[in-house]
Amino acid sequence: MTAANFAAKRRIDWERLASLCVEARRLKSRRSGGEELAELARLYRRAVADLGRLRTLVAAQRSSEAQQAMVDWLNALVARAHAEIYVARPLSIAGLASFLTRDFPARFRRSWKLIAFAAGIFLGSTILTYALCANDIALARSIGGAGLEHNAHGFGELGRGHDGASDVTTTAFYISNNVKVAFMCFALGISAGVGTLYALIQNGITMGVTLAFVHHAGDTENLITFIASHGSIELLAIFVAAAAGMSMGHALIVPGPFFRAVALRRAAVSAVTLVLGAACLLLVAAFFEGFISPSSLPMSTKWLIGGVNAAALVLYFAMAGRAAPNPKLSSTLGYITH
Amino acid sequence: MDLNLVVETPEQIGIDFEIAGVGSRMMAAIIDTLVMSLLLIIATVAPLVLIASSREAAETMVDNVARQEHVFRGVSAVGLAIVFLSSFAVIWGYYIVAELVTDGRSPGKRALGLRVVRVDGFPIGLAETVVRNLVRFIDFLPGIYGIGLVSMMAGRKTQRLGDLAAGTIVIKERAGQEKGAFTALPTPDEHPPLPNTRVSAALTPAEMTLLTTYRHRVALLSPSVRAHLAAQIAPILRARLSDTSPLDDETWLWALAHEAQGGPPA
Repeated sequence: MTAANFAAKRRIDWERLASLCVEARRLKSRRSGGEELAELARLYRRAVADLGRLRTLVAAQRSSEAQQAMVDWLNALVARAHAEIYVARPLSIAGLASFLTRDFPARFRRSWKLIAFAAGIFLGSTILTYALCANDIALARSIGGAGLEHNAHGFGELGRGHDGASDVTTTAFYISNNVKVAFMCFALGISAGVGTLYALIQNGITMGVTLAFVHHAGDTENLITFIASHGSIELLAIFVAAAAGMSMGHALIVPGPFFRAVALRRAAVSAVTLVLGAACLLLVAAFFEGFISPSSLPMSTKWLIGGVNAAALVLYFAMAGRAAPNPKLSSTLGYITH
Repeated sequence: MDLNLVVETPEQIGIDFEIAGVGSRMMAAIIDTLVMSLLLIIATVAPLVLIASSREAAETMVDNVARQEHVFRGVSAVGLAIVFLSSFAVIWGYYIVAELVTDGRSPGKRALGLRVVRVDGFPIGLAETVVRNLVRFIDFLPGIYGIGLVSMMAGRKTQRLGDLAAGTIVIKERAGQEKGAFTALPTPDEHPPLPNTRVSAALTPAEMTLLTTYRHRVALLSPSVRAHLAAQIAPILRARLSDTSPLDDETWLWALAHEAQGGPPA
């Protein structure tokens, strides 16, 4: 049988498959499309076999440009149908629920070492810088500069509380700024983790110097009161995002049984759980930072809220998602099968 | 650039993908950046217009500018909040959303006929698009995709760092792979065994119209309808052409329709 004969025999099915591919999106969105989608899958499988057959036939003959065009056409059709059939799991509310109640806390527990490492680097830089600068304001100024000192006084003021109309704006600013920091902490991990480490240390030092300025101005109590309600959530979120970045770095440095490229891909794609989880935490933190922290609520109330938040975090990450998986709640990110 | 990637399907047959070159990737990025800038302008200006539509707020803002204060001082906190959030969403979310809702074809890529897929040929999911578009900010360093360009030229699959991390490649879609209609199957000049007839001479204009209509509609029909239709039409035409070939009704009618069109028969 020649390639052309074969194509003539099979082309009705191919053209039907082509038209189903064009309609696929519409078919998927309506309930009654099931029969035609099943037909698409059936025709796809036959077309895949046909592609193999056609290639063999063309290779066996003195192949002309026209025959090659035929193979390319069928290859394109098969590729298109493949893309319609093998799709990533669509986003859904159930997927989001499963992400928040199961995947994120479970992933957090599996990555606790990296998260603790990130926390150690950040807090270590903070404490070291503070210890050096607390009683040496000249050193603080040489590290932090006048701008930071000005900001630090602003922070000191914040804790006293106010009844401003700008809480919505502040919240929006914190969301965009902090989520940006978290995303950068992750993305920088591509530099074998060096960039993430740098970001952690730099932010840790900034916080240490700020604390030193505040201490110098005698505003420490105000600042701690300001931080109390949102601090635990916000800092933990940054540590989680940094851990996601460092898991990329870890894969590049210690790839285990995989090629580095494969190890990197596995680590990065699965760390998305941590990055998105961190972004969710920052949304919550920004709400407290915008509405509660700078409010004129009494100091004791702010401390109470801070305590409740910290306890809620511990409970959430220790307990959530430990029960047997519910097959109905299939996660958006759970399909990864490299 | 003429790079090919062969991807093995679960059915054990390789599909060829043509990997997009650096040039078309950069063109696509330029278009996407333009679209993004436009959205960014809208995201920033729209809340302003909304606020300024209140006369009182507009006057306050004009005063602020005159006194060299912050424009939004004493105006609407909500407006400024929307500016912050919407511009953040555009800058960090544009590519993620654009690739998610279009199966890896952001506007720039669509314009150049490109698509992002996983290295195993599968469509990208949320995780892949988040990784490749967050790492994009590193690829962009130190400006206009410096690092990304080096990475794309250094590797064999034209991947920037974001692609390497996400396990994705950008492919060129050939004619037919796009979302629109498929072009017809190109056919070589060989003649398969055909009904021994001189079609156009033997048929009436009405019968010719019937054949042409059948040819155009057939690909849109389900197999059962197709077979039913062929069983109705073929016997009539076979009788007219005194055909005795052993081909089944559908195949015979198909070949006939092609010969009737005057083009090379399938």
